[in-house]
Amino acid sequence: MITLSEIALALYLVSDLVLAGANRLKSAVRFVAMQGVVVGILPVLMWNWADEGCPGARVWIIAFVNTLVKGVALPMLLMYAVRKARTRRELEPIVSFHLSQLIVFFIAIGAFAVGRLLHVHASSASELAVPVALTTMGTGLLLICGRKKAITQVLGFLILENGISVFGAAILLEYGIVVELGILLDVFALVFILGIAVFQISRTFSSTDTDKLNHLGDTHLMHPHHQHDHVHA
Amino acid sequence: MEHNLRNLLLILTPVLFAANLVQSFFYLPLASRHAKTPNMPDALYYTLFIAFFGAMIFALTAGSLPLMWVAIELTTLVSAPLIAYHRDKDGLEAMWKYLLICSIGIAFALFGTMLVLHSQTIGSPRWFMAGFAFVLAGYGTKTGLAPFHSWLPDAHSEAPAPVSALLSGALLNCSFFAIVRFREMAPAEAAPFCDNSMLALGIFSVAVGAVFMVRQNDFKRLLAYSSVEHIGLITILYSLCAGSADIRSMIVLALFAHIVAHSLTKTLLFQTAGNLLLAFGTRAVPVVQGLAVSMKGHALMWLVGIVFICAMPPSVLFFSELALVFSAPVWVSAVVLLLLFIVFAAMMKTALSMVMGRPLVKCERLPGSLALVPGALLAAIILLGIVSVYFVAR
Repeated sequence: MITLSEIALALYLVSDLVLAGANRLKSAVRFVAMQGVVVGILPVLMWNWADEGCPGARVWIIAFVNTLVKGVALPMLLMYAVRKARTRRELEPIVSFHLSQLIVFFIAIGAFAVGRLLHVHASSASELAVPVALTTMGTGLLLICGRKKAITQVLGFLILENGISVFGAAILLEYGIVVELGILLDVFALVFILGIAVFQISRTFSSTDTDKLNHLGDTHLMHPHHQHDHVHA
Repeated sequence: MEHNLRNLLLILTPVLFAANLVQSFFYLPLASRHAKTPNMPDALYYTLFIAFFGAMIFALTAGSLPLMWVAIELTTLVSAPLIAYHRDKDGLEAMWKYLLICSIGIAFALFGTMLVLHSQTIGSPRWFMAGFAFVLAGYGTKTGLAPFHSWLPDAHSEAPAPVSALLSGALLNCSFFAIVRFREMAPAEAAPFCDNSMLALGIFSVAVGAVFMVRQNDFKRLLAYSSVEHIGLITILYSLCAGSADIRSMIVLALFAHIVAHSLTKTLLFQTAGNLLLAFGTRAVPVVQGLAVSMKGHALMWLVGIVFICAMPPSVLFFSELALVFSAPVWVSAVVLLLLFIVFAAMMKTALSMVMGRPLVKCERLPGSLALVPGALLAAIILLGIVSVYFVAR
């Protein structure tokens, strides 16, 4: 039987494919926001309503805060960063958009194979959940490694984090409210600091391409004269 | 084991924090006097510095594993702005790399934590092994284990000296403790896998450290790679703990001694390196020469510090590395000894070229207060070395 949570998870899979091929940053942020909302309400959707009745306050609070932070606050912050850093598109990705979509497609096939091998469906809420979580994590990593814009890398991190949250919801892991909120606070603060870093990078380097961030390393040190021109203290 | 290590780090971390806080009082005014771009305001620096310490203590004392994850992520968040203390291009680049690489690592660690917790509810060692692999890669990134160490040399070389010292001396230990907590939970079937993967990463870290220390022209990066090497040695020592019971107590003692001695000596070295940076305005080894003539006190601290970190007796590290070589399988001992020899040669060549010779450039005179904390640390490590000689001789 197809449940509501499985429709939500299928939506996730589609959004992964779209995100892998998205070159407009604003629409990418919108899809990440959609993922955030879905991951927020997933615990409520996966709740065993028939047997356990209405979920307690803990589930509702976590679902509400999660949706608020991952579906609203962080996407708004990123939207602001996109506008402020004046980067609309990812122009020259390291891995092209079509190839990225193909890679995500194969990641999804691999994830379903792994899910079957580990017999995860026996211990998880839905057969789809673990493969979807793994695919989403793979998509996030692909965006971090295969894109140049700093903001896209932040988006990739958020997608990776969403994938992990889906996994947590899938195996019905319960940490307790303090830890859940702590994790959420960490993610929020991290994206906030990354956002500030994006501003500073765009101001200092007059670009948000992370391939400009290539000065540090061990190779240029072979020429000692090179050192003199960036004296610090 | 886990309990003792926690107690040890709960004593060691505040000591390192105090030493670096005091050094910050002397270091920051000079660092901002030379700066081309305006540095971070002092108030923000101290707030973040103290929060960094608090986050590390939180990580050590956290009860549940997910709560420890929250704490360790917190250490990344509060220490990242400290790395970009000099608000210039290189500082920003180091901070970006640190944030992004460590956050991906930490995300893996969260995934690993979930797998491990799940493995406990369904009682499956296979899930535990999968979880431990993610935890090792995740917290290993923060610990600076190769091949996940790429943030470490950049962050350690760009951060102001007291922050580098605290990153290297305290933070690496705290995230190593996180790995230890997971290893101690391993079911018997998963234990050999955990130990072998830690041994492999440990040896690889020592190798990476050794290779990048050769012909290293930046003296703070040299120290950073030395940290990669020592964290590798600590991981190897820990992976040997599961061996036979009669040598176990010796290895545990060696492990604890190594952690303490490395943290203290590395703090001394980073603080001295920070002072040299203030005096010469560069981290380039070829420019800094003739320390024995121009800065006698710092030349002594630098040379003795390097000799001690290379584990020359009377250094405590000599005895801990001796214990490692005696108790490890023969091929591990042989490889580690060869790599340690390369490290020794590379570090001594650099240190001697900096201390000996004639001064090339005129260096600035530093106030004596800057040598106060490193001087005390120098006395402490020599004293510890003499005590350890006495202890081993008995």
